[in-house]
Amino acid sequence: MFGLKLCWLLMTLGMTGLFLYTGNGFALSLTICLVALVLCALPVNLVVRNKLRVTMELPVNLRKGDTGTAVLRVENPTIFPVLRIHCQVCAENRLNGQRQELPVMTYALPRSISRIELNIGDVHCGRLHAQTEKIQLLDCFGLIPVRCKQAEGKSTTVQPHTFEQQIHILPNANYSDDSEVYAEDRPGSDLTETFQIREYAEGDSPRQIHWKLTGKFDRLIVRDPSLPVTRSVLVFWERTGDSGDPEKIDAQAEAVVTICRTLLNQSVQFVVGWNETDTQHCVLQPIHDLEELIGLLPRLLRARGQKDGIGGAELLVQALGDQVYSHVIYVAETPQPAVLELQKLGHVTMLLCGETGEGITFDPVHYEEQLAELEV
Amino acid sequence: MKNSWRNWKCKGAEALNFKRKPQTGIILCRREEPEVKAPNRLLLSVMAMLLAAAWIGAVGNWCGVWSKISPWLPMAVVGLLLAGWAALSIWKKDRLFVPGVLVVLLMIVLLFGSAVVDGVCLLWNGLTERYLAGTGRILPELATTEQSLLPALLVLGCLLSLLAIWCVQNAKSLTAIGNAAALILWLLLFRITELNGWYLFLLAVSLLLLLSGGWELHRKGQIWPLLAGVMVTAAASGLVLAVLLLPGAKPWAENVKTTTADTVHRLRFETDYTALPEGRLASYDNDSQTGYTALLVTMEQPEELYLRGFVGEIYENGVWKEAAAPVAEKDLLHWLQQYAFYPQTQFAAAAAVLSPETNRISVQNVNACSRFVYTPYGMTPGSAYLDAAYLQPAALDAGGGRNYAYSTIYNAAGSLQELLTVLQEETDAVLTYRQAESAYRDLVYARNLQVDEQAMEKLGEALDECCAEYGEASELTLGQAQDSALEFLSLYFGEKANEISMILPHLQGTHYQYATAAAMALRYYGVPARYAEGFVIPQELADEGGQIAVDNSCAKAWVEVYQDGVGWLPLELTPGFEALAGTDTESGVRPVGVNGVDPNAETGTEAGEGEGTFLTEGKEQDDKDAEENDTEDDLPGGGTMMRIKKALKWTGILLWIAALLLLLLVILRRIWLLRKKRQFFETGDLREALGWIYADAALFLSEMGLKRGCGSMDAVCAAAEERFGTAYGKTCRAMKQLNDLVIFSNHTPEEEHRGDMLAFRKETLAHMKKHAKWYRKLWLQWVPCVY
Repeated sequence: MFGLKLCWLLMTLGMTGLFLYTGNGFALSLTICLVALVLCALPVNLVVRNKLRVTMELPVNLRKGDTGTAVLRVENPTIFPVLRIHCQVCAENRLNGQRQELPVMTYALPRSISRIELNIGDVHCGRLHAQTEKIQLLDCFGLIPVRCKQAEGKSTTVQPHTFEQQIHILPNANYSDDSEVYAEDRPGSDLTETFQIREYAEGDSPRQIHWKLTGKFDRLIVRDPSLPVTRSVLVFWERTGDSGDPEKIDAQAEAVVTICRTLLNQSVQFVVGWNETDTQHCVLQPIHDLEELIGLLPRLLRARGQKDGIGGAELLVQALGDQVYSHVIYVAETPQPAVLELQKLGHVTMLLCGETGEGITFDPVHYEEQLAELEV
Repeated sequence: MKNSWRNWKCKGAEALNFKRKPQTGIILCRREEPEVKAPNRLLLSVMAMLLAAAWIGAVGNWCGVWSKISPWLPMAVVGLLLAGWAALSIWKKDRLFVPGVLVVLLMIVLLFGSAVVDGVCLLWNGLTERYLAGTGRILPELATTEQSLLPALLVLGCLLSLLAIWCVQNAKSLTAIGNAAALILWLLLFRITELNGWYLFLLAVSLLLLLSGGWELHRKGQIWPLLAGVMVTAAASGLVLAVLLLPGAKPWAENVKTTTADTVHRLRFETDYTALPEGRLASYDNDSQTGYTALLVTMEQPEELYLRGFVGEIYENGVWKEAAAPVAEKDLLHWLQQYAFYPQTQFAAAAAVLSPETNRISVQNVNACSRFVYTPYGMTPGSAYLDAAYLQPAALDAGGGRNYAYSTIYNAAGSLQELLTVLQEETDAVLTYRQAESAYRDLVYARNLQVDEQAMEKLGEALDECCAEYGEASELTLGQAQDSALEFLSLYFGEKANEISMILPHLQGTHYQYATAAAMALRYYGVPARYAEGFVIPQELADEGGQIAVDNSCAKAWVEVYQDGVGWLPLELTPGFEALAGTDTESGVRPVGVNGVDPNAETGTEAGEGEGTFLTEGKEQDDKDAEENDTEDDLPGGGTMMRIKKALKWTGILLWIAALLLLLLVILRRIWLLRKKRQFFETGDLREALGWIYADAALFLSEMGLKRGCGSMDAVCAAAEERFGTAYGKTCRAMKQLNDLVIFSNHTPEEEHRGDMLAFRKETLAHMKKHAKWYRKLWLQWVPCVY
């Protein structure tokens, strides 16, 4: 835009010079046009700016590293054209704080809608928030800007990749696994307790067939095993002590989501939690199935980290009180001092990104191999 | 496998995105709108046509060729050419366009090489004429055989078409500014003050280009803001033009122009004091400040001097103007200045036969206008501001210079009678001088006898009255003419002073008015005369010696007459300044008939004829001599020069052909090499193709200083990551892994890997283009043809 402004200035000066030098009427008319087009556009833009509607549309989810289409929609219901509209579109990954801006130039003809399609994506997972930071209505040479109401920001979730993982959960000596509590909302794998009895459906294992009832009703009846709520796990993501390195954050997020998914696959009920550094409180959410996990991702993936402040471990201890888990999987970049107190809650397994020391360490490049098999 | 590169699909614009902030992993770029084929390509083609037509029109106008050839034929060819480009680009074959046009150009040059060169020479010669007309300076001309301009114009049109295509696609705003700047430069350089149709067309096209700045016109929907802008601009422009057609607008515009010119002149050449009107009698403020020093003059030997500055040759509406540069007589004047005398040194050239004593004079211009050199009539050659290639028939242009010195003939007044007598002799020196003088005299009589018709409508009756005793004004002898002029002046500057004031109302009663009236009267009677301004140093002031302070009371205007044989001399007729007239003037010439010269002693009726001291009897003979002696070796464009120019011309043709052939060869080689490379990239063996593409990308990296040498590409990837951001580093590593898999394992690549690898190569190329120096890029593009 600066180039165009400079060109206008030079052109206007040149035309003025030509008129003064030659006294030519056409040169004068071009000079007047160059100035008048700018000045006349100002009231038009002032009228249009209150009526112009700019909206943004984003896809709900995106795959990491992939791009989706963001649509900037400019609706001009007036009878005046706006020959240049300058929008500063900004995309921010709320998980790692990275920002990217893109100036977009468009126009709005009278009583028309123009759509600008943008490619949007991120090579890191996170909650991607896009909004127009600045909308200016300009004359045809881009000289006098008139601010316009901004479009409402929209967000999309850049889904993390998950990788193959095996988690071996060892019994916790301090926590009784012999629980008589079974999950009421979902089947499990404990054949000693029946979750529900139903008719046979294709794909059911022959081991599930309830022969006695089958003989009685003369049709195949199966029973679903129950899910014992015994080995309860807390997956906690420490967001304090974060260095801000997007690669490390990305690796941690993938690790957390992969662990959650693996636990779900292994029919282990668990609670996922993290500390929100801006409100200084812990979020704890029990996860029973994949939908719940997916539903939680938008919130999980905008948990912005912080270098200093109250540690998530400390907040967690305060929040849980006497509640205990058999295992606590503590994912962090830098372990917080209160992490030792987590031992009160259950057996703690620390997964540290980029740190060497106590616990299991992983780095942003090889974390898939390093976390492929976990023993907690 | 984590393969984020697999999904890296933000083609094209992501490089631009990363240029802004390479550290971030966010992909945010504008999705490229699909290209619209026919309508937008046609629009682009029309814009290119307009631009090329404006350029051809302006260049042709600059070279003055449209008076010799119609502009429509070259325009039509350019139009067809650009329509062809539009068609080719719609069919996506426009890559063939540039080589095709170059081949056509080559063929034109091969077939009509001589005609093309002649045409180019004609264009150049036209340009030199325009330059001469504006500035008075002679540029070297090229010999031609006066063949058709058409082949040269076609070649020029083709080249300008190619340039126009590039400009409308890549640099619309810059082209707009470039056009306006070139036009302004042209007008200033060639001192043209009128805008003709071609220039206005060029300006309109420039505005169109400026309006389209920032829009990619070949993309969908992007022509609408341009069209809307054009409509609004056209409406506004039409409205303003309509207003300018109202009565009074044009004079106002002219007045603005004059005021601007005056202001620029004042700022450039003048101080706070204005001593002389420089011909602008209608607007001159006679009550300007007095009592300041205008010049500081130092003379070796004190003498009375007329220091001439501004010289007016055309009088219109109360303004004396300098005459246009003598384009038609340029050969004669150039020859005179080279071999005989300058118009300003004619008296000294004539006096050379007497071996006169010279006087050294230095002038320091303190407050007078510094545009002119204030020169005495007896100035000798070799002085400052005299240049044989700079035609200045009247005043000498100082261009702001304020200190200069020159030699002059001492006591020219005393030697005039003797000089006129000696010039009657038939010695070789005198004959040579008279030959040159007779040639110059013709020029003077042709240029300095024009009278202002408007003034003559009113003055004619009075002038006819004064010459009634001799007959018609057009049939007077020189003596009679001078006598009649004197009678008119004495009558109308005396008892009928009121009448002359009604006809010449400006600066009444001043020497500016008297000089104007005298010049017109003398011209009416057939005596070459012109109006001159400057400073007069009377003998009393000169006798003070040392550095003489010439104040504004010495500023004057007078009339000059062409004295056959010795050139322009001042004639003092202003009442109250009679003491300076007659033999008391610098040259010693009195008004004809006043100082004992018989004005009736004529021998013929033609201008310049006469008897006695006027040398008129030698005119015809001298003219004949001039023609006979006009050999080709003496004049510009002689035989030797012709031969050299011919040799140069053919050398130029051969060089031109060789250059075109070389260019064609380089283009063909590049096309062949790139096609071969593309074949490698598209080969059916995916492993081989991926290897080629990766090697090509590695070459680009090495061009950016990221050489792996004998080391691993991992190090290069790390360095690339540091330089171009994390995202690129990741992609680089992924591609390296893929390349390793392809080379060192049995892994079978998939077709989509080729796309990924090509995208990586493209991104690397974009980085290289950004970081490499332009000459390196040029080298890589045209010599090893790596892209």
